[in-house]
Amino acid sequence: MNPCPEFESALIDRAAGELSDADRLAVERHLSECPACAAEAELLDKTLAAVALPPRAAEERAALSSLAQRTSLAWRRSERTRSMLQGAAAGFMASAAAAALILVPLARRGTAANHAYQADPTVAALERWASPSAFGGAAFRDALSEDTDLEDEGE
Amino acid sequence: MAENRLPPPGKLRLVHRAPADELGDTELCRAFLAGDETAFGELIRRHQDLVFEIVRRYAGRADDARDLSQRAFLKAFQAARRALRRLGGSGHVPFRAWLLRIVINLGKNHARQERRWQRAPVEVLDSTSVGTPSALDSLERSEREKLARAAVLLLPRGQREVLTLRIDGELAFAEIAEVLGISENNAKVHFHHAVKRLKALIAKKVREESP
Repeated sequence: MNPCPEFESALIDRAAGELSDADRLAVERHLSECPACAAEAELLDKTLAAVALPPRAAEERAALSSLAQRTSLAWRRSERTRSMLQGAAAGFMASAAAAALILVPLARRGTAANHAYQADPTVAALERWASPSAFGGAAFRDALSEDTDLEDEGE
Repeated sequence: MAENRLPPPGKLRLVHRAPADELGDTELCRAFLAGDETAFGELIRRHQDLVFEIVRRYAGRADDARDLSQRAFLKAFQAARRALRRLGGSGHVPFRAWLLRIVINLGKNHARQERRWQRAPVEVLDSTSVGTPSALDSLERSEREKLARAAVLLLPRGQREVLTLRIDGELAFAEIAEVLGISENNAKVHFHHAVKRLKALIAKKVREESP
């Protein structure tokens, strides 16, 4: 026997505790008169009860009790790693800038002495390498912030 | 919303957060990022039960559940820090909503990586093919619960997320909608479809095992 179609949605709301006082009274009144809907309501209650997780086991309670402390330690670790990465990045940029400061004038002096300017591909590559834009790329940003994205990782 | 509602008939218990909680979270985030360690602990204590309960749906082992919960908190703190730096002193971050969004994603990815649950082809279920309470009782209780919990992870993504937040997180549909970025009505529709599908899956299993 199928439940009444007009009560189908209300029975799910009832099982989920989503009915207003008035609606719930109306539904309960209907259930006392309609065996099919009463059976459906019972099935829905049992389905949701079966879906619910069991009470936490002892090892789950223990795991939860240590969560705050472990998370605090993990945060400190991640902050140290982050500081090291940022320090390394700053050092890398400073070294690259220093190298550019030395190499670029040398290259220019050489071309001035020869009175024949020729673009040095090595110096050009170094200049590109040391330019700030090289540190603003997606890969570098991701390395520093890969754990912070909120994007859905896909189904 | 909860004030004009009678207690639900089943075991569901709705927990409605006070609006001030979100503001409190932002303030705690700001205090923590300014160096107040106690604010960090308070944020974790405030949300750890909710986070852990949702994660339990996806992680079979207690250690995994704890690790996933930890990762979720770390990601949420990092996201809050970035947002607060961008927004300045008067900024507000929906920490709890972000945390739950992250938890759902981490849980889903964990379950997939573990291959703990085989994804079965989801059938188009006939809405009239329902079981009966007595048929449901014919399954052993532990088996029925195991089946039902596994069936949750076989639900389509939207339905699964809403059901998890509702059943495990005990969130109101308004907050579920906020977390998932959908309308409240859409959240309710997902929930209805999820319950129908679970009921049909269980009924189908009962029929298959009946002599």
